[in-house]
Amino acid sequence: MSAQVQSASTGGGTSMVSLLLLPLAIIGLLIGAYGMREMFTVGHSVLNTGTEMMWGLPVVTYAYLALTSFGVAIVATVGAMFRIPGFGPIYRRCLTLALGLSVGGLLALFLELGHPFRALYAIPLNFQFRSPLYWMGFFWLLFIVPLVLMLLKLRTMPAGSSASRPLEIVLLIAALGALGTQGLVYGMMGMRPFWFGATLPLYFLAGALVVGLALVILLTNLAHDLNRDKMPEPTRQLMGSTLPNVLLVVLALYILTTIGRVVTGLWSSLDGHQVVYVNMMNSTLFHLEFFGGLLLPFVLLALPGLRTNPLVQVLASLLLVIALFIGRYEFTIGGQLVPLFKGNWIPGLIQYTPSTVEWMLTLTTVSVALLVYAIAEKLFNPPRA
Amino acid sequence: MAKWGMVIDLEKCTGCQACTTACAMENNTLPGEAWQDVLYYHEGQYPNTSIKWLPRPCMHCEDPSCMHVCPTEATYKTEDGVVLIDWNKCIGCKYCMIACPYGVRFFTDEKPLLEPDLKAMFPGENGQQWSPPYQNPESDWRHGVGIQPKGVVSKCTFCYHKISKAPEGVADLDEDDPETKEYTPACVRTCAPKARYFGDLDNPNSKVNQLIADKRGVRLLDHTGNKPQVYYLTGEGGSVPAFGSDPSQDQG
Repeated sequence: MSAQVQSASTGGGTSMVSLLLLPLAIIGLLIGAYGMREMFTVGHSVLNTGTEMMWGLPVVTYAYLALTSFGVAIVATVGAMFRIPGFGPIYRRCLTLALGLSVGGLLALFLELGHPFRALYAIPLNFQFRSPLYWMGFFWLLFIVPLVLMLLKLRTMPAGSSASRPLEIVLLIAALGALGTQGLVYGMMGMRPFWFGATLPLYFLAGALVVGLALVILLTNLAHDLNRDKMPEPTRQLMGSTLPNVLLVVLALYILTTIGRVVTGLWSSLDGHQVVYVNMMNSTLFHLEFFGGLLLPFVLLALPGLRTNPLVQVLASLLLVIALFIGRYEFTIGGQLVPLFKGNWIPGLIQYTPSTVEWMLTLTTVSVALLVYAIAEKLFNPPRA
Repeated sequence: MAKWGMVIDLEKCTGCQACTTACAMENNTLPGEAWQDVLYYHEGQYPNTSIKWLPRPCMHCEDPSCMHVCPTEATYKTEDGVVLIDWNKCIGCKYCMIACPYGVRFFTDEKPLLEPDLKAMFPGENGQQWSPPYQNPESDWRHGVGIQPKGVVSKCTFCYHKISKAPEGVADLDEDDPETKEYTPACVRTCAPKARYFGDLDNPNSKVNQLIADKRGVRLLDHTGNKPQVYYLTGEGGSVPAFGSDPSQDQG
């Protein structure tokens, strides 16, 4: 029994997620790479982005994967730092997932840039301290280095040991810094009222915590085959009480923030602001996100009888993961819908629908994120007794 | 050192788009990649409507947001006040396009803005985005001059390949002055109603400064703090358009 618990707690090779993830990720990668093959031959002309819609689905994907990566890392590191019972066994898995998501996000960004290889040296060597993108890159790098170091450390020592405390602190600061600067990339754009605002990093933080908690809950349930008996006792407590309760509170905050943004947006007559929210209100996507992806999970998690049910937790988490992606899409695209000085060339809002290749790019990068996670799980797992 | 700026007299501008054409010829831009555009819009409700237009080059701002957001310092400001892109440094992240309040930056790697697709008709050679049969021999990628390479952002340079060779200390670059004609930006030189003026904003004796002072020159979206170096003369009671995003405002 103890060997079984140890195996499950480390995300061992017998769990449902381990069995399915690797082949699913490989299949997704193959389909995605085949679907976006044109991009490697004819270039970015297969994307529906350009001078009018600068940042399309590839940027949405990278921003979302980065948000989820930072969110998972923040949730896991806070849990480990404050020695919350039950986080020890799942800490390594969470960090492995954060690594996979960051690699997927960076790949999406890499594929979107006009000169990705040039970016590797031009950004660090030109010291453009005034650019939010520079700082986001700085913090993202600062995030990945301690993340890998921590994963290596966890091979030889248990989570939550005092020796790893300094690294935990650096990791948490880097994750918060990367998340905050990502918020500033948009929040500093005074010419785009839909994005502008000093509180945007906090909005991003709320979203990252929601999706981070949702992924931790989802993954832990799947890694234990939706069976609480396979979990070590502290993890069972964590999944049965602490995590869903915290998710419920954070989700409530995120929903309130979303309502606040929408109400302000609809009320404000500021040009370039209200019109985007009106457009959003008229889209099915927003209602799917809000009612199906945020309110429904909130109700499910608010009912004490359902909150602790692994199947309900998985369903609620999946809905939240999808809703946050839709939210990122609406946010990124919404900020660019208002044409800036185009006159009759663009009489209304800019029209944008992602191309098939863009969707394939998303599939590819998400698959890579899962593949890296699946492989890293094997690499960083300590040999079992 | 001069601080180059432009004045556009909207009372004189006829909206003929000769400036747009001259710019496209001078800089070999693609269709739709209008570094110097003339924007048409209408005001009022039927039947009381009127068509208006606004010539719009890059504003070469004093404090350009596009420059500040560029993560590689590819967008920079020269000592003579011109905002340029170093195509050898640009990574094509398009953040500058997001940050420019005037929508004057272009990324031509993606779908053609207008048909036919000249990139397909004249495929790029030697790293160029496209290689038309007739090209301006001036090419300087460090200053964003010439046909842009793939994967970078492009924009108006105030014809930097011309103005940077102007005689030191000259107050204005005027097409009517034989001494400065060759250094005058293409859009200014070609403007038939002479609605455009180009000169040194730091020189109190320049024509551009006199016009700004005498005719109360205004700048677009001054509230953004970018402080454009392109001024508009709107005439008595005139104004530059706000270009609202709401179609019901009938502006565009």
